Amino acid sequence: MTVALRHEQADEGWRALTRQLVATGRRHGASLEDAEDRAQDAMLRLVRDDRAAVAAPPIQNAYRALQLANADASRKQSRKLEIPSRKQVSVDDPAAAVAIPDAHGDAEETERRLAFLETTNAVKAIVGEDALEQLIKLAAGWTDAEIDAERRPEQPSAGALRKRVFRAIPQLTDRLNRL
Amino acid sequence: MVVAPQTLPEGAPATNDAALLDGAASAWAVIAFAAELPATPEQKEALEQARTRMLHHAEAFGFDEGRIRQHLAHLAEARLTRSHAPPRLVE
Repeated sequence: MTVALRHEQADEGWRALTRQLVATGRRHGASLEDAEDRAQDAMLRLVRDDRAAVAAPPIQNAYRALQLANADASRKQSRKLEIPSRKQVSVDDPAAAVAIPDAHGDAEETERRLAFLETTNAVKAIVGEDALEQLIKLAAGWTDAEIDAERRPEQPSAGALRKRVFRAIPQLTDRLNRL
Repeated sequence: MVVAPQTLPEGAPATNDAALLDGAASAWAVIAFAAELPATPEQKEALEQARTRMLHHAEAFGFDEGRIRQHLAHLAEARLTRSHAPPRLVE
């Protein structure tokens, strides 16, 4: 066997592997162009990892490289954190400090929303997240018996729920009336 | 000109309408449950005041009591994963 023939066979191995990766990408819903790009990225990754490689690596290695290439691609895609020019501010601008929380176009509105959510989250924490589902069901018309029948071990019984909320009334009203 | 990091990007889940409505519904459920308990008149009054304040704020976000109760029914239905009882709507 000549050296040229050996190289040709080795190339064919890489090409076959690339075709397999492209087909895998297509099966997972990628466009042909994207599948080819990811396969190429995977191949480059394999070559970079093992510069001396002549024969095509095992398919498992190639799939792993493809997975990493896909992960890289989605990471790059989600890294579009360009802030619109109208929202860019200079660090030297003293107004920047108050401009930052301006998420709803109105800092006051954002403050109100946050205050409301802080309060409702505090209410949830006071009664306990484990009891919230039952309280919601009771408010929606479920009976104690139905609540107890559906209760998971980590959730309080209807009776325990009453005691818990009764004890928490001062804390609840105090927190809600600070809203 | 430099880019300033925003603590809350536009439409951030932390303060979007769905989160506010969820919060209002949860608070409403807690208050409604507490109001049925044998509390002192002062506690009953404080609960009523809390209910009014909560609703006042919720209304400013566009959620009246009817909307909150409707959402509660949906939440209850969504959470009823293991029950055989038919979900029922409030009013």
